[in-house]
Amino acid sequence: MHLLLVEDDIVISRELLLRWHARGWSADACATLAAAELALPTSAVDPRYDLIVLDLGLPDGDGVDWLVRQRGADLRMPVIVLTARDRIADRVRGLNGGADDYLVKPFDPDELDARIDAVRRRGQASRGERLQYGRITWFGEQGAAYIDGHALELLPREFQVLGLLLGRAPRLLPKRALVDALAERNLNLADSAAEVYVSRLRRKLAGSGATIRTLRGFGYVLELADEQTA
Amino acid sequence: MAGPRRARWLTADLLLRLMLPLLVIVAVTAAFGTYTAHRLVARVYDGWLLDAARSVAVQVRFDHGMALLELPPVAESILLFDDHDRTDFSVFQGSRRVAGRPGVPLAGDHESQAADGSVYDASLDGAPVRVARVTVAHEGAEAVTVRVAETGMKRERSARELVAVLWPMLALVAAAALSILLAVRRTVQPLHRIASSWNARSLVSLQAIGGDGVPRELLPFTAALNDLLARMRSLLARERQFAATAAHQLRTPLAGLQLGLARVARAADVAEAREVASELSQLTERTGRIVQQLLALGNIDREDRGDMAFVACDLVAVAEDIGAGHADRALAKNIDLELAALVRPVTATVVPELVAEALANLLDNALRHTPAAGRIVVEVLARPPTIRVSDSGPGVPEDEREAVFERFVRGRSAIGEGSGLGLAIVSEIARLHGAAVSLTDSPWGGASVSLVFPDPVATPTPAARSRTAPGR
Repeated sequence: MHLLLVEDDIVISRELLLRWHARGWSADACATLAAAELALPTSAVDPRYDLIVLDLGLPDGDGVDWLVRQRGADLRMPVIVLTARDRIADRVRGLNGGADDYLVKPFDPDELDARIDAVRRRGQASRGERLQYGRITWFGEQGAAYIDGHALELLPREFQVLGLLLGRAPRLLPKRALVDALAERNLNLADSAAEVYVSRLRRKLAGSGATIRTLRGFGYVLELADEQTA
Repeated sequence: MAGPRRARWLTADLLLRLMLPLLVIVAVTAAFGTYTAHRLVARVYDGWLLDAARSVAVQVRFDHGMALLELPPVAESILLFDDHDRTDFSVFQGSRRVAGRPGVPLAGDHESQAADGSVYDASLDGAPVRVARVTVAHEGAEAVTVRVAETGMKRERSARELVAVLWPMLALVAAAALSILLAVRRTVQPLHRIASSWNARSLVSLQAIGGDGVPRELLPFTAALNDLLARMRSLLARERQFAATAAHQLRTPLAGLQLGLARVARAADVAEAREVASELSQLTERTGRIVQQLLALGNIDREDRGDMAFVACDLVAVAEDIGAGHADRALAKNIDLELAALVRPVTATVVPELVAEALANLLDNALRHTPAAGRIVVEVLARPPTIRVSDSGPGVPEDEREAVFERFVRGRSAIGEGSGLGLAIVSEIARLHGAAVSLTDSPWGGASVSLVFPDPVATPTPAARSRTAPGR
């Protein structure tokens, strides 16, 4: 994992870099938007970084404005915004501006790492790359999923739902996101239909070490059974 | 976009309004004076000219119908002598010249009539003249016409002299302008003085300004300014109190952090240090939460001052969004978090941000107090629009239920490990929306907090009503 950290606070920057290096992740840090712009690849096909962690209140400008500009200039890397701004309007502005996730300072560093993982996995899932979660392996391009190397018999929709769950795991896949994703090909997909796919997938995942947990009204979470006991 | 209108100068306005009428009055007076002077001169000189013609007419004798004029040379020289003007006369009977010179015109412009003749403008030898004509009738004889012509030098000079009387008026105008200018300046000057004295005072204090030495017309301004100052004083007092509260609230956990760090420094082994560090991590998290809640209270204060943007908003969407944001914490504690909304949308006119803040606080409280593997249900009901958060925690004893809504700046309430701010924020937000907030027992033995918003006048459309929520 290769990260770009845009953060002007030296303490936070140093702590995060140390932490990520200990995890085996590599990262570049810059303290200004200008420096971040130089660090970015010039072409969209060269990802260079897996993810950008962006602070908002930077000395040379507002991070959201910058992000909007970069998204306009075809920046496709996932971005996690890290900020001291805690108003809900700020959060909405950040997410609408093209951020993939949003974390308010002070934050739990484990939570940041989990979100980095999740956002990256979501990106991989949507690009159809190979995903590994617990004993589940998911090959988007082949349209196949395996448990411990044994192929899972999945219908296309169930495969798609599994990809979405894997993309968010171990966090919540909001029901709205699930319905919207499935409705791309079927405009009249009802919420209850999504539920049917989820419950079928749940049965097929029995014994895989992963379970689909329902937060009624909110959505679904793909959990690893041993994670709960750990 | 039109630019702002340029500020006007009071001095310029006053000058314009005082000087313009003065100038008009002067101009009218001057015009009228000049006209009157010219008329007066014309009347006087016309009279003299007619008299001259009459005095010649008197000398006309008739002899068998033939007119004769015997004018002694002395009389003729008296008649014709003049320092400035040339005078000519002629006496005709029909077309026969009796005396005088020929060529004096018979008629002309600007004629003014008299009983026995008339006076008019004409020209003689290329020079403009005024002519008086008198007709003498004699029984049995052809009428005789006497004409006396005179150039206009004297008239013009007299008129000029008369008009010259008006010149001092110019001096009068200048004097008036000067005194107006000075008066306006003197009247406006106290404004500067008052403003600078107000300025000097308001730099050091926000105390009310006295009305001494302030003109009556400016008293409303003083009152308005004092009102503003009073508002600012109360605002500053609130901010100060807020800052003091915030400092106090933050000092306490910081002191805890300091103590904990000292314990880490003394720790005998890494295991003990780790244990303290994990406690400190929780304390830090709590401190962060206090900061967020303090800011939320600050925001409510700001909204309280007026800039609230009420919009029609779907409470189910708010609940979905905020609930999903708390899913991680629920999962970490293995709490069953559920959204129950049978009707969708549930529209209420609210400040969405504040409602979200209130719900976030309710969820935070519920997550804090509900034990692991417990249950939290967010309900959104229509008619009237209601958000209810119920949990399976220990609940709140009946006698404490009112106190927990108090904001610590007014009292003190700290139950459990919370800051005591959460429900205060909820109740302030409810108050801003005219919503009722209540705390009861939940069906699972815990607490249940309901926010009941005023029922909007507009009922949801049938289509929106029939679409049932996916909540189960």
